[in-house]
Amino acid sequence: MSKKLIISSDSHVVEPPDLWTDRMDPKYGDRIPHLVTGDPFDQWYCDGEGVGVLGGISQAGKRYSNPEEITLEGSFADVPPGGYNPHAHVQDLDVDGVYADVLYPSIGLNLYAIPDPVFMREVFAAYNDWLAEFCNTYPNRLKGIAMLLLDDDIEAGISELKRSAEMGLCGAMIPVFPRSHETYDSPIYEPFWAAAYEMDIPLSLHTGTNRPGSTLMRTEGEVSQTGVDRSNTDYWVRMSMGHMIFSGIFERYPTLRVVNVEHDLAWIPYYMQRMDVTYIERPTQATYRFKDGMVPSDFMRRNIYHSFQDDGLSIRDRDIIGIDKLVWASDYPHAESTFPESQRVLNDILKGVSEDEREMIVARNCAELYNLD
Amino acid sequence: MVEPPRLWNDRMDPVHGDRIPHLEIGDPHDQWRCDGEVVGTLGGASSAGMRFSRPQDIILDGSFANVPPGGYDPHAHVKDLDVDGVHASILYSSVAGNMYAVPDASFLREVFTAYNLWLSEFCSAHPTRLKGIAQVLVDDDMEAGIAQLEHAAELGLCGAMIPVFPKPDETYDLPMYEPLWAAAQDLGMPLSLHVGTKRPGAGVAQMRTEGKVTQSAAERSVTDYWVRLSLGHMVFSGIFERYPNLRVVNVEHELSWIPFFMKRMDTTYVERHSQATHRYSSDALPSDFMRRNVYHGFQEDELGIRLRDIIGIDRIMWGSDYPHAESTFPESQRILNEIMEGVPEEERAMLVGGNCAELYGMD
Repeated sequence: MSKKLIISSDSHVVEPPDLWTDRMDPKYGDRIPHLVTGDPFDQWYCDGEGVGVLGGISQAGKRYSNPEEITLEGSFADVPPGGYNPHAHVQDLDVDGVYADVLYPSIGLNLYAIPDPVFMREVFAAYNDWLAEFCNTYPNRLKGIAMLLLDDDIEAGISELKRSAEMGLCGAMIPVFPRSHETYDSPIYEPFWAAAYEMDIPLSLHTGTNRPGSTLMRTEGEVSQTGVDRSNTDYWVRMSMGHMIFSGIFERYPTLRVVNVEHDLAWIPYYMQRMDVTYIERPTQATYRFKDGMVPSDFMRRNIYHSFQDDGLSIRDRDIIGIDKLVWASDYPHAESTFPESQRVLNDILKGVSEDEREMIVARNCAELYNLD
Repeated sequence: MVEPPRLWNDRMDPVHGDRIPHLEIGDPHDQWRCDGEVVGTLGGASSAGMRFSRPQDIILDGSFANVPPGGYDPHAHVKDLDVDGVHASILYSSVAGNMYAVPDASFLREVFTAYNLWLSEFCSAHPTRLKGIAQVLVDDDMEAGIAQLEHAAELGLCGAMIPVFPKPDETYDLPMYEPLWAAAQDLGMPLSLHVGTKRPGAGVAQMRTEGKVTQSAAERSVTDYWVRLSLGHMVFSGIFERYPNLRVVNVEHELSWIPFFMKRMDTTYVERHSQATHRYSSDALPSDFMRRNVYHGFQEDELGIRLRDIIGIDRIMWGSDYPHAESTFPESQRILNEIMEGVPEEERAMLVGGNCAELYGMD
């Protein structure tokens, strides 16, 4: 691996308007995700609900020049072609000095909020097909993360996990927080953890992918979020990781890997400490007891990777979080992205970090996670 | 402190009968009931010290007979302060904090008034060493809540709790609270957001199973979420701009999440104008109000101490949590020495006493 190599562990495609209408059974009609071109802005619909607008996912760079103008609304005409055209995407990688991108959806993230699991599984299968085509244009530089839905049909989730691996996708998302009666400590997931473990596919928990019922982030049928909600998104991933760790999943599947995506990092040392104190001092609440004197933070350090963008503070605490579990990301082409200033941002936040540690954070850890060459 | 069994029976109108908070002496363990619901047991509120000797034996069930007398007898409390080398205690409730989960607001306000009366009696036995924090309920009757706050100040209590998170349709960014913020500022009463004092209905955390207050290990590891939501509602809605002398105290959520939270709020404020719709009149950022108007109680968060320059060295206050199971009692001196290693003497004095004395106007 070249010394200057940089990999982004969390970048995005922006779904083209015909992605689903070209690939799904027309019998679903207007339920199929589709873009309604609007005046003054475009909006995606799925299964009768507004599921997203295009501003936040297409305004990379604005935060460095005119952050007060970042809007959530936008039009598809303004989306950078790199969002949906693999050749343009690779050109933008070159501009930003990044060798490879691990790719997540944009509108797809919001689709986890649509209730009907049977229908959504078909929506996700169509997305996975499209994403595999997108990545296979540059198989070494574009790495796709499949979308999975589990809910009450775990077997269907396992089949899609296998299918996406066969198509060359390198990991899979599950909801950052499932339906509230199906938290990840439930035994229903056991066959799924076993399958991901056996196939060695990392599972991602990406910000904003709650199943419905677990969040108040929907007002008047629109996906909405207040400044307060946005400042507290780590709650959901912490609940899910807590359910996984406290229920002993990582003891039963010691090489299962979970990736915490786009929640920044600086809360992690605090969270490890809170889990350990709870485990040690509240055995009536932490009822599953680990073997060999393990504590929750040991599993955090061994089984969970953390994708982040520009959280310089946590670099100070990297010894506690685990230097081999940090995977940098550009979040291209979203408004939060470090694009096109990734090199400068990395130089700023990694000041004083040794060359070896730097290589781990910007490339090696991610290559190891996804078995990239 | 730990509420004595007859606290409420002795002070509330008997017309309320069995609704009045009362302790049921049980086999095998005692439990408190209020308005028909079990609101607490006594293990966690009385196992101080056990975490240092045999943490695996800490249980949430217990009996009042095993509660240290310092929980309900002010003279015994002051003796335990001496044992632990602590001059004064800021006193919060034990079971009464759980009662914020009881729905009926007007009944609960009477419960809290009785508690505030008892607490002021308790503190008046040693007025320079025992300082009480009242319990206040606002919900839909703001006038009654403000009257309760004024009453607490007249009783000599030095601050007041409000729910760490209110009913979900009454978040602290709503205009209905404006008179409360004004009153607290005028009275000079800091408002405390203490862990475990949510009003009912908030969140997925189903903390009540089979009529009993319960909490999973995963939930116990994310309790900072609720205080962050409330602080966020206050900061983003500009309360601290309108009431620059209003002080809010974040209690028993430890510290080391705070720098992360400040940064998240600032980034959101700067980069998401459509979500942070209230814009400050100056070029202040959310973290500026956090550093100016919000104090933080902690017990032993060593990492938080490492991050004190970001949190604000003049806003961090140590607490022993005596006599709860999480308490540093009776090893507060040793723990303070450990977590404060390398902290200059002057800063240490601020963290262990000075900031708290300044907040509550103590000598």
